[in-house]
Amino acid sequence: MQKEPKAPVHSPCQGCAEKRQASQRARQQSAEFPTLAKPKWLKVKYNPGATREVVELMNQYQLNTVCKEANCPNLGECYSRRTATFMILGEQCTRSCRFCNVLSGRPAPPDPAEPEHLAAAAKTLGLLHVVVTSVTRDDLPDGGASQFVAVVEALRRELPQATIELLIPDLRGRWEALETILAAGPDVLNHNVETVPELYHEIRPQAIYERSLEVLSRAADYAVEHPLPRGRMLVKTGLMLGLGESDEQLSRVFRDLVAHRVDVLTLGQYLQPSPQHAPVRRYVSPEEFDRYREEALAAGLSFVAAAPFVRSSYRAEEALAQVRAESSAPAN
Amino acid sequence: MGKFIFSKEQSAAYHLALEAYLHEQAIARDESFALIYVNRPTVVYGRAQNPYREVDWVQATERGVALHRRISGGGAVYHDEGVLNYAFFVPRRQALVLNYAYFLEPLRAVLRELGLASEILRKSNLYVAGRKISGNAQALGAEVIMSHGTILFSANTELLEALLHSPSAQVDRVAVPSDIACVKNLREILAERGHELSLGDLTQLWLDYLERVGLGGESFQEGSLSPELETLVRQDYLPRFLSRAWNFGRTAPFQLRISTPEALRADYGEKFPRHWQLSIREAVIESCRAADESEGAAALAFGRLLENCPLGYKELRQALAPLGDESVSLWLPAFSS
Amino acid sequence: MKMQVKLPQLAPEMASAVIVAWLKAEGEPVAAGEALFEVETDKVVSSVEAEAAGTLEKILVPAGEACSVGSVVAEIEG
Repeated sequence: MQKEPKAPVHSPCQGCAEKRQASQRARQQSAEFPTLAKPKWLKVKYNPGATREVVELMNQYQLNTVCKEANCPNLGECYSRRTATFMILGEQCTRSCRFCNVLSGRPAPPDPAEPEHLAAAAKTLGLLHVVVTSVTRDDLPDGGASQFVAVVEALRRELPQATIELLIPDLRGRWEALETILAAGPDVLNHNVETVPELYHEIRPQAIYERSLEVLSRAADYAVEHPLPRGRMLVKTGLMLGLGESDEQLSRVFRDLVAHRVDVLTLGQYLQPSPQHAPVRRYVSPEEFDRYREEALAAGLSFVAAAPFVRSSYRAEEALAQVRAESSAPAN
Repeated sequence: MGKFIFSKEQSAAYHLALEAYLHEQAIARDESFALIYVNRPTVVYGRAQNPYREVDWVQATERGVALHRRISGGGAVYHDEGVLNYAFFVPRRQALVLNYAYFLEPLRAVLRELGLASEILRKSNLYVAGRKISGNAQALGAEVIMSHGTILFSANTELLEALLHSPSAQVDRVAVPSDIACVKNLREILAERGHELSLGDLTQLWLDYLERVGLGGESFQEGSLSPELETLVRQDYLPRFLSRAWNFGRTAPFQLRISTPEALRADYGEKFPRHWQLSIREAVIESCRAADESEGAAALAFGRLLENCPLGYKELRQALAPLGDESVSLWLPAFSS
Repeated sequence: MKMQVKLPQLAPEMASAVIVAWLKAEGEPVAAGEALFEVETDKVVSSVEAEAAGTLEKILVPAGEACSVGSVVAEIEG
């Protein structure tokens, strides 16, 4: 979590000056767009009991869940469905996207024990669907791909029945690193486009829209060429709404996603993690989410989860089961 | 009324210089032009490409194929007497920016008249019967657009495939890679459908269309270039396209990994490093180190031979001369994958 | 007065481009309308002119890198 800048006790250095400027900018932005009151459909009830078991286990194994890091409102529900999202490769990210609650900074080398710990925890929790994501590691030559591969291998050993979903960064366009991840054989390959291309420079300055699309189409091509015993690998992506995108801009993204052979789309409401993050420009109503869902399905996507609280891995296991059931041949 | 010019020259460097002249001098501000030409065997690569990665440059040099960079974007293409090149120079209009379909219409119309359907894939490539026959690229100026492309008619596809690299996995991808697809000679496709045509025949059909129908309602008439213009192009533009700085210098710094030739490993012994990591900047080998970072006497000596050597055929030959002629001819192909 | 140079949108569907080359170096003066840098997107190379005169103070995106439309690629001191 971001700390509030302390009042200077020494003559102001560049670091403090920059922090002051950043909070001034954040305040100015809020002044231009006074914080919208949260609509009633976004008020959530937390169930602390359900999550206690998981939090204790995470601490024991020194693991991170992005659920906790990103302040996810669905914490209780997912854990009760035996789905959890683990974040590997540390807590510090090499990028600074304006929507994300994860710390930016210089990260530590990958922990070689992490794959085993993760698999052990997943097994203890009796997980049915394991989602693995990471901070972006532009500092590593392979972007962290080998750690993803090691995690998949450990999970397949310890929990052969569980389905595995990988939510990966763009690896800066290092395609052979992507290939190693695809070759590990996850059930779902998820890479989030996050927002419309027009907002990239503001929201995702270190990413390139076409590069993210290429991650998805390469995954789709790989999936077709390498069927898995349980069914084809699915390709998934997600966007957050409320960052300032227009309907036309979204329609274009839906078309692009279909052209790049994406199967599953998640659409959720962007919530501002702190005043330093990008402000919420609008709260999208459940009815509008339904409309977007219809439009995305009509454009050609196979499964769309669209609602204020949807996040990438929300009901992930359900999407996988549904799409696989629909595309499997009738009993022969 | 636009003008089309059929060049009698065969030099890729000259044609690239001519295109650059026509584009940079915004000649099409007042009048549209179409330039048609055929080159001697050459690989022409895009403005932002790294030729060392995109082309088997050592083999190209050994087989007498020239290597040149153009001003427009996109990938590496192979030219020879079986390839027809065209370049349109038109006043800039927003609707034409990144609009390759507009400039491909004359070719598509000619193919239609011959009973062939064609499709445009990935914006700038023309496919017939599932095979690529034309690649295109553009350059944008403030007032003009140049949109040019190739028609693969009866090229030496063996040489094309030997020299151009498919988009394999590359570790440092800073330059723009080529998009080699399944190419096929148009002449073969036509012959399979009962049309026996020469490149001259196709060119004539294409020019007839430009005269009759034209581009976007504007028809083209045959014209010629003035001797003054040709002299200007040769004096002021050609040197750039012949220069090493333009063709090879403008490559972003990159790492090149090469392997000691198999045939020489026995001679050099077990301790001699099998793989080398070269740091290339401005087309010069800044440093050459054993990939496993070993620093034995042999590794250091070899590295020193190559330090500061320009990454070029003649220069490498000279730098490696102490190893003996036979060894040198085995080493050279190792530098281009 | 510091002015930001941004990657322009050359065509409606363009989302990003690769900076091909900087035609001026840091510290060099730039005239209004003078070609400042070249970009490539979808096989099109385009030169981008400076909108106002000044000195090219800082290049933020070097040649060879890709960036999104709207990103600040350089700063000019006017």
